[in-house]
Amino acid sequence: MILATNLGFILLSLGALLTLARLIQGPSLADRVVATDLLLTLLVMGIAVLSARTGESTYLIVMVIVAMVGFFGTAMVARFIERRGA
Amino acid sequence: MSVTEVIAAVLIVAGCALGLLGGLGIYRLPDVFGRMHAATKPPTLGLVLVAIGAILRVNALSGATLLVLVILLQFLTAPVGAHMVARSAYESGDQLDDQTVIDELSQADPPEMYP
Amino acid sequence: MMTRVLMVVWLSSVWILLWGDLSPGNALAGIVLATALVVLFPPGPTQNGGAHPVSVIRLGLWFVKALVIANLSVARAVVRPRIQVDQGIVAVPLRACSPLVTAFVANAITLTPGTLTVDVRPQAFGKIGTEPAAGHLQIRNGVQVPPVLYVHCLRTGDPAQVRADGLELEEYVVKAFGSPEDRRAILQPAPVWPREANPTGAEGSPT
Repeated sequence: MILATNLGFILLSLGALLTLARLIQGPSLADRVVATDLLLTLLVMGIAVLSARTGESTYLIVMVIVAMVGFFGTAMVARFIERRGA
Repeated sequence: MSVTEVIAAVLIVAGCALGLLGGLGIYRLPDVFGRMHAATKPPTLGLVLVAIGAILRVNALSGATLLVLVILLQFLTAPVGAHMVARSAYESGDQLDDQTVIDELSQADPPEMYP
Repeated sequence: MMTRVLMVVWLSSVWILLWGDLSPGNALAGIVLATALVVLFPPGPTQNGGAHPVSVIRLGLWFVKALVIANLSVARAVVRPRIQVDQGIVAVPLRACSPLVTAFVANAITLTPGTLTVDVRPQAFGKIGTEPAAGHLQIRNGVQVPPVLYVHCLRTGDPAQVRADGLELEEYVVKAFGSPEDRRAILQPAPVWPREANPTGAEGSPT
């Protein structure tokens, strides 16, 4: 299980690194919103992997909150882009 | 090493690989809409796999219920978020890539005509 | 009434899931809170025809299969050394009108192979009457107009095939959740598209 979760963390980190590159590069605001959304989803997956590794469920409430905040953030910024244009 | 542990390990590695696939797609695809494909589908399935793997491992019932809740949330919110961003990106004039072959939305009536 | 009961069941199960505690006291607190919420903020009118269990299961299985295929197709497109896509936005006119079906189809399209819903517009706007509709987006002259989904495809191929797939999905969804009007609507032939092919502008005539 330690091996599997280590491998999982490595894969997730690589994915997050590529997403971060897109977040920095842009070019448009919508690109960055999509990248942020994906970054938060990867974070949620990371927390789930962590709980599988330790068998602890203490962090899982954080996972639910991050998932919800990610959605609300995306929705908000989407409304904002629509009104402002970018 | 029990059977459930092996299944959980396989699910977690597969789910994380899908997470990496999402990252790869968002980095490599040519325009916002293509990137949105990569940012929606693989992480959704990936999160489901990882969460099922974690359910098999977590020791408390409350942990398992939270993981179920997060799967439901992801299925509800991922497509809605993608739809909102895609729509606003299109309306704010985000460019489609050169490899786009057809755009029937450009032939639709402009949004000002709707109530 | 039925929707309110369902709302209470859903809200209290979320409450219990969040607390992670199935004790009678906690469940009672959840039910009391959910009932208070539903009484204070009553849900608007809906037009569901109720769910049909067998069709829901069939829809679920189809959905899981489509989600897996979606990931394989994105994987193939992304992992290639040279990115090679023929993207496009295709209009998919639907036949059923109810908002629930529209929302479900739009979300399911986003999660199925190579497609992503970009926008939803009412069908044939500007053809029948040019005056803006009053009230709801999908109601014109008191008649519900079926929507058009604008779908972005990673691999477009044949637009007609994309439309046919959308209608197949719609049929699954309507059989699972559709109202009686939706069930009648999907018996009609597929709407004619593009619009120019039908100069009268009466395509997808609402039932």
